Amino acid sequence: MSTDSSPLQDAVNTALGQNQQLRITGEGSKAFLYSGDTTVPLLPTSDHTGVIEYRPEELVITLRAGTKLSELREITAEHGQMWACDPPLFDGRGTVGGAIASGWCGPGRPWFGTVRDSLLGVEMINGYGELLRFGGKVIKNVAGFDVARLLAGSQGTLGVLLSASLKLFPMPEHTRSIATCVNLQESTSLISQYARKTSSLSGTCYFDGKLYLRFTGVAAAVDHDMKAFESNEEIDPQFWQKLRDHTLPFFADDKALWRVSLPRSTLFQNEDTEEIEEFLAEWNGSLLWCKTKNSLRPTISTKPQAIRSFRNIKHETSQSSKYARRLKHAFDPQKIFNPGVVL
Amino acid sequence: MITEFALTQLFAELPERAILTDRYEKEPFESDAYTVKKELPGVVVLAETVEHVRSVLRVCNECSIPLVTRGAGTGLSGGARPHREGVLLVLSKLNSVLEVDPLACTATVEPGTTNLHISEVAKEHGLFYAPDPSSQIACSIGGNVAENAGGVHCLKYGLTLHNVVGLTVLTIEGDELVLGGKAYDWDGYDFLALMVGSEGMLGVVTEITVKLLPIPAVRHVILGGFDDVEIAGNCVAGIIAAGVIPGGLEMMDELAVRAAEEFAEVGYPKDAKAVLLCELDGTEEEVASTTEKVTEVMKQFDASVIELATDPEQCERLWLGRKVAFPAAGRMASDFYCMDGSIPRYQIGPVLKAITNMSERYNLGVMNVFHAGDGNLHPLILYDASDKSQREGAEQFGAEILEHCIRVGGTITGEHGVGVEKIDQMCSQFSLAEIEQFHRIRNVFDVNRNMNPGKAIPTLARCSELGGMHVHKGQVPFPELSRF
Repeated sequence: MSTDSSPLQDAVNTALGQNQQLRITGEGSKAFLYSGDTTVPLLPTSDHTGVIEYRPEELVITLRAGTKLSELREITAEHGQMWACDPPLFDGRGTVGGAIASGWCGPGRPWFGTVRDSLLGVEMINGYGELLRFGGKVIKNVAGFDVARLLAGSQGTLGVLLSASLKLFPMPEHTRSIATCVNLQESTSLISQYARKTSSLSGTCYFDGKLYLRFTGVAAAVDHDMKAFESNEEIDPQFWQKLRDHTLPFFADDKALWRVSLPRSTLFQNEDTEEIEEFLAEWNGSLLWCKTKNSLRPTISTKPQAIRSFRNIKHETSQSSKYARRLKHAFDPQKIFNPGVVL
Repeated sequence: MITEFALTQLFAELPERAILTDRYEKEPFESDAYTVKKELPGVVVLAETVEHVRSVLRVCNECSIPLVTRGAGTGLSGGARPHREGVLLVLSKLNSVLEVDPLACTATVEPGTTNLHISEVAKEHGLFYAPDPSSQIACSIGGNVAENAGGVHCLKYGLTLHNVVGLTVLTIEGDELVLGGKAYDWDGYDFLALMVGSEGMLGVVTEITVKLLPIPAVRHVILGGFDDVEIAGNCVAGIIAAGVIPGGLEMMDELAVRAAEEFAEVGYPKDAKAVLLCELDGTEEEVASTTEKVTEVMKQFDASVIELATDPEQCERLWLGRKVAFPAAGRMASDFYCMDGSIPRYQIGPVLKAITNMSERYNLGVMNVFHAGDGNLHPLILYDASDKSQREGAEQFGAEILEHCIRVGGTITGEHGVGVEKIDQMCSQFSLAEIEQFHRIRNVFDVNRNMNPGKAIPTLARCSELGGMHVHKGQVPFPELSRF
């Protein structure tokens, strides 16, 4: 464990001096998502760990990037709090830095927000070898450009994240979940009923002819919402962790997996898409996980916002926009961080 | 500078009525709601279409003319103060609601649409737009995006950033960027997060898609009166620690309570040293539970008065005192200066005490009415602008409050933006390397620095002059940069 960031800063400066490149890594739990050059030397942040400040009454925690997500969960749970965006731990590992760099969120995303929503401030090293701080530890802060939030999902291309301040939420007092056998159409219409009313719904998942719903909040509110499902099977809330971490049977095989992000009002009908063999839909039907015939890229008629090759397929190379290239240059002119990763 | 050539170009592409060059026509635009520093714009363009915006951007880019974009002009930090030799691009006429999608719970609007209007059109679907700056009846959503505006309900529902899901932005180079959208995520850098709060320095927003939320079924307001400001501050932390995220959690000090009472007679406890207003919303069951918890916490913190409002009329009455606080301050002194520092919640008590001490030292009254749940202070410094020493004192007092906010781990602006008002304090909050990184980001979108020049991000030279330059081991940072 190290609380001193100077070894990381030295490593960056050495790389700059020697014109070398670096591949930033935490625990490597999401290495399968890495689309850059894997021959480049690693810069591990997994030793840069520990909580810098945690004041539960502030609902804010500041911790070093190498801290394990599992540790963050334990520490905050002791005070009845959580990092609500609930990033996945694909193999039980995963660090805070990795979660921020990837920007992935758990099944509660539509209700609890994203990694960037809860990111209040960061400390980082840019591609000039400078140690910089942006944002802060307070909830409201509009001084300067929002660089902290820009780092969420930037896949380590803009710099080395050293520490982050995260906004936490109180853990829900009560959680209950059900599974109900419905077809896709019925599932969609059931979910859309919740769109315009205040409820305790905080998770949806549809696959294999079953809709899974999660209700969280104060006990009376959850029990009230559950009344509509009295005749349905109540399931173990562990289901949602398995969904988050891809340990459900759906994710168990080695088939190519695609991730499709759909606009919120889209009514996905799998009849339109011949090549999709199997799919799972979460986030009110807006996030699809698809397995396709011959690993083909799924064609979806309802204009998806993003289709991404996720696992067991060669990552597609994309072209970055003029502004993305300039942004990269603004932080890392020598292109030392995560070469080959294109955003 | 606006040359004859540039003007000819503008007149060639825009209707004559859209271009104001006459001094008397331009005067209403010489400031936003930060009226301390006014400037007559070189030329005012009242854009009626997105094509007009494109034309203005093209001419400003080609002729290298400073461009300041503005909406309703309700901003409090001078972010929309015009440039004497530049174009002031006014987007108020671009105010159409393009789409309300009740299934996706989104609305897509033009930047001149007022904040409140979005909630009005969403109402028929049982939805509303959550961020509610106090100026919501007048302020435009484009300005909200530029400043990352907040409001009373941000504690639970987030800032503008958390409630905008998509933007269409025109850059000064004429590119149209479509950022975000109705999906929950997308590929690439989060330029949307960068644009929100960028104070008109990176592009001109022409379309905004916001998230709409279901109108809560039930709403309660609890008023708590306290005999001590610090204890009231601690009670705020206590409510949050109890696991409750109120819809709004506001605090008013003794002077603010008295001013509000004299102004509107809403029935606040006049002898209280501080009043907390806590709004709880959600489902019936949820609100019943949180109301009980908050009442319990207020009792624990020895509230001298606890009043619960459960019907809309009672709730409105309790909120009225808070809403009239600013005009009420206007009756206490001829002028007031509203600050916007943001601090960790546990510092509320000590910081309020420090402000009281400063008030005695500067011999100027101060009244505190603010978003306690977010730790976002709004001290109102009372002074007489016709008195030079009071005017200068108020400015110094304000600057000292902001410096104090930075020292206790806070920030110089929670929701009003930096603009021209707090540009010097940026040098205190950020290092030169950080400021330089901001400039590099600015260059990504506007290499000639014609978009809202002189705002939000100070030049390195300015910070150096202010003594913010940190000399480490005798080495001047950025030796390659010339200093002047």
